[in-house]
Amino acid sequence: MNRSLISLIVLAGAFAARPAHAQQYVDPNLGDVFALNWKCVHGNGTPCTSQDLASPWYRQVLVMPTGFEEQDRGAFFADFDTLVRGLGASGNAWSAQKRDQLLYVGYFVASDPLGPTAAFGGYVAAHPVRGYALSLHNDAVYAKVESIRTSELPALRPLAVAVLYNTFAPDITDNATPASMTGRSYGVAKLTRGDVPSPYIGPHELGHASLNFLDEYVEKGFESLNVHSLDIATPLIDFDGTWSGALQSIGNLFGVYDYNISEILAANGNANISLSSMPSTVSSPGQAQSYPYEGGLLFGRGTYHMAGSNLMNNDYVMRAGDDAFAYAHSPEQQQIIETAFGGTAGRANDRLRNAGPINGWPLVFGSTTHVMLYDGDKNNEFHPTQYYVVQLGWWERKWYIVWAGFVPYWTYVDVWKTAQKNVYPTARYVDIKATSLYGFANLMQVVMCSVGVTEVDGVKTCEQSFSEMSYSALPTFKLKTPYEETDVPASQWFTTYWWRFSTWNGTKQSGWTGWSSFYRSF
Amino acid sequence: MLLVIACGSAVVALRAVAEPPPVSHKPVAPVRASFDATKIARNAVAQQDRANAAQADAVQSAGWSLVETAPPDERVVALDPSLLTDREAELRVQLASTVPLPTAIPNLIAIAKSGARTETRTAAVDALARVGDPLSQRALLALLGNGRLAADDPARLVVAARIHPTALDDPFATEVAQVLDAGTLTTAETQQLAFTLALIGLRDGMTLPPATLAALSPSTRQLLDQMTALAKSAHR
Repeated sequence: MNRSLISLIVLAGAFAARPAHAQQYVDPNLGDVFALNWKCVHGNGTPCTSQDLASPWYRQVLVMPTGFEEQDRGAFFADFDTLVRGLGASGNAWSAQKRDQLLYVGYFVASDPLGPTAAFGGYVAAHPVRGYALSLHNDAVYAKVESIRTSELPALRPLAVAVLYNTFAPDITDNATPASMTGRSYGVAKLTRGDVPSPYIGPHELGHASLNFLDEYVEKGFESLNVHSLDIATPLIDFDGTWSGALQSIGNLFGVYDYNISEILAANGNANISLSSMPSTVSSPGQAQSYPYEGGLLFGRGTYHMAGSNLMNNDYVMRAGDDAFAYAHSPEQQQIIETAFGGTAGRANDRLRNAGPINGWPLVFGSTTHVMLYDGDKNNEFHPTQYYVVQLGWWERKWYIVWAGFVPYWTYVDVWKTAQKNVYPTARYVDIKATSLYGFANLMQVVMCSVGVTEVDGVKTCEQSFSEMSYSALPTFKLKTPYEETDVPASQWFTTYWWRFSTWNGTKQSGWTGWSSFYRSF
Repeated sequence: MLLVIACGSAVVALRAVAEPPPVSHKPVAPVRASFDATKIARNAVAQQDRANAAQADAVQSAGWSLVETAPPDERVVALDPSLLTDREAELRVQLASTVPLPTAIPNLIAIAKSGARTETRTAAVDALARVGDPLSQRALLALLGNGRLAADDPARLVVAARIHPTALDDPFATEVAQVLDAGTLTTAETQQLAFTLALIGLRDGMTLPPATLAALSPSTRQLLDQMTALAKSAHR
């Protein structure tokens, strides 16, 4: 049976009982049956069918190797099986909870040994801070996924891709790129063969890649440090061409709009971390989340997470007994898991702020003003904001004539008028030049790596220290922001306008932000 | 008489465009016109109404729809601390979801000190930081002084890292450095302020003025060096 025929079968889902894998052979050493190039199994290790692969009910994880030569084919699939078993047995972690809804596709790619010519350019590099890091070209991974989808597995639509490195080297700091950073529907996790038997590393790294979770633990040395200190780098941000020309020019007047690098890093769709112990800024019905424990994204202060020991935490800094590692999830993480596996949004997108122009801003010229909306869930992977409802209000003078006998008077009353419009989100980016960070480029590099920015302009951010790189080679970070922009008509001179907004995430409507104002002079 | 009417109309017209409208329905005192000014009055009213309707026309032609809402509550948007008695939740939403004016700084300080709920006090401190004005920065620093906010108040925990001098040669940076030696800070606050100063120095390639550094205790100078090294290398 050739592969194109298999593709057709998978596409049609015609043979429900037929295992979904390509040409098989028996490994002479292991005595096991393997697909020539790929195989698909359920979370419990049983073969999946073509119909399973085509079913939208299942969530898929694609596992591919790097550094495995042709003779390592059997070893890769043996590791694949071990990885799948471990993921399915990881306590109450997401991969065990949803084991029956997960399909794992192991896809073999013959490769040179780890190094520049290995599959995806995978190699073990020096970590910028400690030990070693796993490096690859994300673009090569994306291209391979697309190639597999178009040529062999049309039903492939992974939630995450794991790249397995053919190494057992110790002291490697694993990393993952969440979907919010890949710009695709899947994230990319990197694992070594040495990690495969670990019941922790697979679910944790794939938790980043598939569920967009950030680490909730604190880096040693960062116990007292606060993520808001990084906001001193906010003036270095440049609004790129995804913003209107007006906002680019006004926005670069730091202080007119309220944008912060801490929000871009730690409150930008990664729902398990917040910059406040009470992330909801508006009143949405039946909703009041509490993130009582401080710490996360390396920093001991300024970031917050929910109570409940979980997979993304560790035991190093504990604010209470339930602020530790466990093969389990906090309530917010659990909500995300349920949504990722087919449920609706568990809450409204209500981490909002009118981000400018600053209240009462008096320097508005022209008949249109550009307002900025902060939305911590704009880039939420599983319940992103579908649209914003923006309201614009003003007092309109209603004139009328009154009579005192035969004498006409004219006077007015102020009538409150409000207009409303739905605004649909657009991806908005900012640039931060590593060269502009000067002395603390290294620190920013480590933080960027922690949130999953692993590659910028071809420069790997989770390896070689920026301080060891030539000035001209330093990259420009391009970050998707949690901010939205819209223009509002303000046609009347010398008028104070008011505005506010709420969000719709496809399931729930948030409450309204408070009213903010700006003043149209002329 | 016509001159009087014209002047009256002009005054009214000027009032109509020169002042931001009050936020309450408060008719102004009628302007007296003459008996023969009926037509003029009607024309004036019609003209004003047309001008005022222009905004509604503009928003509708831009794809907006007119809807009915309640106007902003003056006390809420002004962050009136007296609302803490019975409308604290509304106050918290206004604090957390907007950026206040510098004129609200006294109210923000009052709310940070006297809000009943932790989230309200914390939101007041966050809002104070978002004002982004030199006065608000000084107000934040003052909150770290003795007797302002208790050392274990969750609202105080968020103060230190929101203090951001614009540069190390800014006199405010010297004030911040001096506070490091004042003995009023917790260890975490001391480290956070020193870390921020270190980052600013690394960002700008500067150090605190020599006179400022010389006036600091050896342990504070050592802390600044440690934080600079940490910010440079990203590990301890």
